[in-house]
Amino acid sequence: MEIRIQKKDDLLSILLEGRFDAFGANQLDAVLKEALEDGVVRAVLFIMDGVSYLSSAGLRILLSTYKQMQKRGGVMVLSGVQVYCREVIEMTGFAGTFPMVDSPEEAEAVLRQPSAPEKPKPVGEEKCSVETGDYCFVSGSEDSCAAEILGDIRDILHSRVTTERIYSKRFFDKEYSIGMGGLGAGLEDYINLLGEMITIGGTMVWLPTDGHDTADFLIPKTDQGDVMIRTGFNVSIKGGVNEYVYFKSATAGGTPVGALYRELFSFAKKRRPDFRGALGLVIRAQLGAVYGSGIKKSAVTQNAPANGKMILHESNRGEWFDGDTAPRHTRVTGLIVGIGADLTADLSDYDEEDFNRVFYMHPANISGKEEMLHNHAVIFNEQPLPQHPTRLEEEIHRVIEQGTFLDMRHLLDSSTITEALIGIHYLQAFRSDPEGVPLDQGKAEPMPEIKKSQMRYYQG
Amino acid sequence: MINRLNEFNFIPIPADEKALETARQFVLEQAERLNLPAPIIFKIELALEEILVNVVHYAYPPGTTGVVDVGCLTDEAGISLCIADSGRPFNPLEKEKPDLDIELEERQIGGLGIFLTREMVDAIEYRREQDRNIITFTIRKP
Repeated sequence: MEIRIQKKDDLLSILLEGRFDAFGANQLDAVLKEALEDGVVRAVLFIMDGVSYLSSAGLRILLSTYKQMQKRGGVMVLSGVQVYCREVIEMTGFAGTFPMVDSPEEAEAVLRQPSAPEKPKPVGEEKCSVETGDYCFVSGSEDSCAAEILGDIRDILHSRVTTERIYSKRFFDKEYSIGMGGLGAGLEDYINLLGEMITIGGTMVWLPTDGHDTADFLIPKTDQGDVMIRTGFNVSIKGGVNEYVYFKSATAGGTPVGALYRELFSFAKKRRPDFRGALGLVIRAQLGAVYGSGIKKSAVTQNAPANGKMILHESNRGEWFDGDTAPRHTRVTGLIVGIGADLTADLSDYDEEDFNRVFYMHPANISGKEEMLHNHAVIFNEQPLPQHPTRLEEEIHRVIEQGTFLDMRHLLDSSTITEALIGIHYLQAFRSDPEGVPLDQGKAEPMPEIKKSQMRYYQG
Repeated sequence: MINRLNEFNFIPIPADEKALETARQFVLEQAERLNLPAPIIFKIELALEEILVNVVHYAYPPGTTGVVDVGCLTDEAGISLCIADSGRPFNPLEKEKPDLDIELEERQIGGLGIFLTREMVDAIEYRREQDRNIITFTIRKP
């Protein structure tokens, strides 16, 4: 790696070019030791436009420089970080710590900030007690989160999914998504079985509409072939969790999911200028009562209701949905992916067409509602819940490893939550999921076949 | 992949600070025939460095230079690398995942290398066999 340094007053500018690998890190370490020795430097600027590669050894040097500057009340800024290097920084969680700018000129603005150096954002913790319960908020990533959509909920609600309206999407183990879909190599394997589906914590669960009302719980082994999800409608939450919440209900039996969303909307309106009206949630919950609903038939054209009304219409509902009137489960643990829109909020920041692909704003669909929610939950026997909000992702994995899988359901809003770790994504946009391909296009290359033997496979 | 080691091309490299550059040249030459896109090359280089640097630093007692064998297998599925040493038993995959959430001041930088490796590869295995540490990993073609 080529290293050029320039010292001016208390500013040390370092121009790097080449590979910031273990070898480059060693070179830089020696240069930095000498340059920082006299204790004058209060600002370090790394100009990295020419750096094509960064490894953990490079990160280690950046971190130790950052810490030294912190101790002196100084700053460190990275300028012109290229795409792969940026990914490494983001992947390892340093993106929120190291200020990154596009050019040295821009860096000056950060560097000139008098004596109050850019500190790592303290993990802000805010506790609120309201009628529904206690909430402890901890700030998370500053990602601009989005809901990415394949297909269209309206095709489901009108039961008009056709083979042209099925999409294939590679299973991605860090994905949080919900939708209506199936698994299988050939169209005949799933087209008539499309059911509720969720991906969370490296697993995928679906409830095939095969009449058995039994969910399949699948952990694809990532080292064996690719697993393709076939879907007529799917929403993925993209971006890191913006805010973590620990929630404890004020009611022994728990707070209904609908009321919990309303409370989170109300907090968001007061606390978050970036709230646009819709939230994507990932929840590791203790559920007091689970009221589920499952679609009974595949929402394909040949099943479309004869009366031309939506499948949710009261004349069709009974034939299409199993809705629980008594709790299906009590005192269980749930992993939930949900997306909710506050219908009392101004939703005009969102692309109308894409928004409608998730929340069909048709009068017959929204009448009298204050919010529209889609929540799918994977249900396990009750597992202990630590009260640490930022443990969310880790906890999800622990439940999957240690819990006994019971069920998967579309949650009715009346289901109750007694205690939960919640990851909130303040959705900035609704847009098409670029990862999915229409099935007929996908045919150009043969789809890898999915075999049950490629997965850890459970049945409830 | 470990059961296909006889199909790999291996070169022995002295486990010193020059090992990385030698190994990198060797692997890039092997990878050339696959005509891989830049993001995949980046993944290969990063995973190779993280595993190899670990071996160079920790496998052999200070002051001694052992040998690390670097192997490569390319096929239509992608590229697999093998890094083997006869140093003390060490399975980097057992290293705990770094906690990326904790406060920076308390944060241990160790473990980041193997964390990054896991993010880069599609599969990775460790085996201790005949007094050797054998790590193989695979990065698939897109």
